[in-house]
Amino acid sequence: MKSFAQKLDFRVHIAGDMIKDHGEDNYYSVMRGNCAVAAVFDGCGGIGSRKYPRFMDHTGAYMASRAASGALHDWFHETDGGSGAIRGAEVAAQMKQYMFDALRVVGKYAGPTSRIFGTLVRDFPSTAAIAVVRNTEEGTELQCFWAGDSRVYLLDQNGLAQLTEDDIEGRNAFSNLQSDGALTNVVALDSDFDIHCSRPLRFREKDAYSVFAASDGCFGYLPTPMDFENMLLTTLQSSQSANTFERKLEENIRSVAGDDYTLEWISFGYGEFSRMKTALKKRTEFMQNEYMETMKRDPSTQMQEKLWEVYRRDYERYMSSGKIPKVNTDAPDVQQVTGR
Amino acid sequence: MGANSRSVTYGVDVVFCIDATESMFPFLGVVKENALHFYQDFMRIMEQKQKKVERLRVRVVAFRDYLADGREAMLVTNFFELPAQSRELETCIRSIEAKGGGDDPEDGLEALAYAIKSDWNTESKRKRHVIALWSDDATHDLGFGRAAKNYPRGMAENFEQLTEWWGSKYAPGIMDESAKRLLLYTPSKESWTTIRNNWNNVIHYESEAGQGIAGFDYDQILNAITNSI
Repeated sequence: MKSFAQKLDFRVHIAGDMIKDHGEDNYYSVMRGNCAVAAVFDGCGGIGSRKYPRFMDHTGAYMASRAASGALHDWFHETDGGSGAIRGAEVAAQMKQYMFDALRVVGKYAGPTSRIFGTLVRDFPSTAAIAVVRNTEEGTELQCFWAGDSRVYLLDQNGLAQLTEDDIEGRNAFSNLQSDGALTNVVALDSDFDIHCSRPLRFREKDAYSVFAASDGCFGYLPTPMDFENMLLTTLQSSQSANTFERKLEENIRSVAGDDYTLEWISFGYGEFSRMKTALKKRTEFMQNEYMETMKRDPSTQMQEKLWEVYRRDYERYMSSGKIPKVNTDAPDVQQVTGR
Repeated sequence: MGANSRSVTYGVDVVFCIDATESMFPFLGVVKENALHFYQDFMRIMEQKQKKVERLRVRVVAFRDYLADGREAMLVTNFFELPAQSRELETCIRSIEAKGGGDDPEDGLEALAYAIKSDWNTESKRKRHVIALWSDDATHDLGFGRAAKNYPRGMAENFEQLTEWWGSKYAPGIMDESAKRLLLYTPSKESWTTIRNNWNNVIHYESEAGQGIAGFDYDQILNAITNSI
């Protein structure tokens, strides 16, 4: 049996600020022992716009994403990646407590701020999207934890799949791109929040896949979810190595992003980069032929909506199983993933 | 990948509600300047965030006191299309005079009702519908001036109905829930504190008509208004 380190192929880290040194995104990425974590945090600049002189005039959003990221670091090292917890819901509760404690410390030292009040102003709000991958005898097990509209995705030969469900006043990944809906749940100091937990996905050692966490700066400025998958796949096919892929993908995201962007990516089971390209070549061609060419011929919203209704059947293939309820006394269901 | 073909475009409507009673005399000049700068600064921040504004309109509601000021209690314009009508907007705002008002509280809630019932742009996919209100005092109860001859028909019956007009995420009102923002530059007096604590999407800068607002605070307000929430 391969060790966990042998199963993990490579990692990709992409991050950029809209305003240099004032980026409100943050990330956490680690691999130790039999566990790896890829996570992003997006401080909410709209509701977290209060600035704090004691924090060098940084915003509550800026501080929140860093506090949440630091909290995840502490959680990982102090709980050995939550390995003592039996259920995902317990891990989510642990993460929530670590994040709340970290924000409480930030709040304690924040000091006086402005005369701005109201329901549009929150204390230290941030999203969180966290992928936790554990070693198993058969292969690996993936579980996601989140709050807000940052996402965890899976990419394999069947295409891109969103694993997290946006906490947003919208209907789906396509309508959320159009409507700019308000967040309904974020990590914050001044009110209760949920860290949702997905059902675990189990992979055999021979199942190759990539999992990544991304803030909305990566995917929120493209016209459709199909454009995002196409960007990932075409960038991959034009790259000769993981390093080139990282650089090119960063360039492509930066060219469209209207916000800070952060992406943490881990690939398993391919062995080497060229095998990943080969494995996803068919899917790249399929995306071009079935979606991109059609949208090029007819760029209307009606056509985008029509294609989205087809595309979402695969894109949402792991979302139907949904998140684990907060109070869950049963052992979690495990969804076995097998290649088609 | 070309950024131009992908950029997100917004339709932005802004309604300025300005207390034009006599007690506003010391502040009105600054309020007018703030109003005129506001939409320019708003556009600047949107541009910084690569949020392209495809259509910008501004409307003005100047309010006083129905019982004390009769026909001059509520002065309401249609939307000005900007930048085409920026001169007309400037002339309109500069023409507002501080006078009348009777007792201390004003009919600010009626002004809010007019603003909420604006003919908002619903065509753009992404929208911002912003109401910015300046006052130096509390409000009368809604309907306080109902005895006045020119009190409008169809006005909200009471504060509860006005709250329904504003809406919430569970029971949307007249305005688009994703687009609406209410920015209050008022003291912490009735009914402004009730609104700030209970209505969604509200920012309250606690002062007399925004007096003494620092650039530091102003930037935060603009960021809150322009960003997604």
